[in-house]
Amino acid sequence: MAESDQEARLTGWVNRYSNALLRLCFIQLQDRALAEDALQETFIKAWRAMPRYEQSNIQNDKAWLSRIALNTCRDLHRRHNRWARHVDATAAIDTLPPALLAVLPEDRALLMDVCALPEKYRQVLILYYYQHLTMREAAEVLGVDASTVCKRLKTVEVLLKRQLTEEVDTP
Amino acid sequence: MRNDIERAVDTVLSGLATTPAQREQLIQTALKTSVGAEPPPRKFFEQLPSIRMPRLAMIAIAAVLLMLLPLLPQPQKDPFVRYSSEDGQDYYVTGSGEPTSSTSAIASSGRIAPGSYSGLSFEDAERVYGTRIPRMNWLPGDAVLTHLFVEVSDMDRTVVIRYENDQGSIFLTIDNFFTEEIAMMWFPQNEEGEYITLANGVQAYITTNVTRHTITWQEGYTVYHLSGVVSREELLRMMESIR
Repeated sequence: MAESDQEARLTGWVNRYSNALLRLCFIQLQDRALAEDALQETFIKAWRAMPRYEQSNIQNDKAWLSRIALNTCRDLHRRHNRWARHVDATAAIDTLPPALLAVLPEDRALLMDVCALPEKYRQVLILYYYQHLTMREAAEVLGVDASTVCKRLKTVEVLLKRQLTEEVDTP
Repeated sequence: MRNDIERAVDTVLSGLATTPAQREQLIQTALKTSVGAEPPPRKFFEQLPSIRMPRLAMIAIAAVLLMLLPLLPQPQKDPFVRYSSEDGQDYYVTGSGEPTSSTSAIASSGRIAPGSYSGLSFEDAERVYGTRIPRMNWLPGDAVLTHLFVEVSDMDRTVVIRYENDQGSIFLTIDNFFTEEIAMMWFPQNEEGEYITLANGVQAYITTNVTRHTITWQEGYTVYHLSGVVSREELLRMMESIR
């Protein structure tokens, strides 16, 4: 594929997915600076992997980019573990630019609860409920079985102590 | 649940979004790397294979190791063990079992238990760190010191100093390793960013992510890592002001 087509694809990804990926990275890392670093590294890796992407016939761009973002967040978290142990979600969210939309207290409380989840539950929640991946796609991103994703989602329901408003799809 | 999660993330984090200029920078920075380029060689510990084995096998191995543990030579216990008391203070228990305050324990013993130390003054942080902590004598805008902590491990001692101004945070991380060889392993090699030579002949590595510039350099046993939402010129000026 011509380089200009590849550049156009990269531009499309950045324009369509950068906000969602930035928020995914922020929820994983709970630090704005690290989230921005992770976002940049994600697109660098996606650009480098463009030939492999074209050969693999990937159906869902967002799932593929989410996988890269999550792996990048994991690497960054390892590298910055010293600092990461000393930050918390409340402080991280308070230092963000002011919200552009009206924020309900229950929404803020829910996001705090999400950020407090153990990493494996947080990942599956964000991929399934926020990135709108199917259970199979989320399983592929995380490198686990679809049944594992299903179990983790049910555990999330318990951990968040909320009733699902819709039925969880069966794999 | 789906609507709840989506609404929570998109409203609470609605201020966290990329501007057109930032998206353009994301694209241009990615394009500077070669499409299809191999990623830089991974560090040694990242190359270690992940081992998958049945859960039962893992439990059996863990049980065997636990049984063998008492047979190993016991390490000499550090006479100072750090713990946090109910009043929120950090105390150090000496061999006699008497708790002492952190400052007097550090001053009298000279030995620091491995761990993370926060809420210290600069002077106490230097005692934990083991040597004088370099100061940054120039900061942009009205940046103020907000966090200072020291981490001590068997391999190194690290100071992390965080400043905040209207534009964001500035981090100065100073890693003091016990050998120069280990320090050299932590300096980026053959990466995609920019390498420059400082006035004192030391090589430094600069990267840019959206609005954040980062510079890393090594001097002997110490690796410095300075990162901030500042211009490149401000970053270099901060770096040069470190004494």
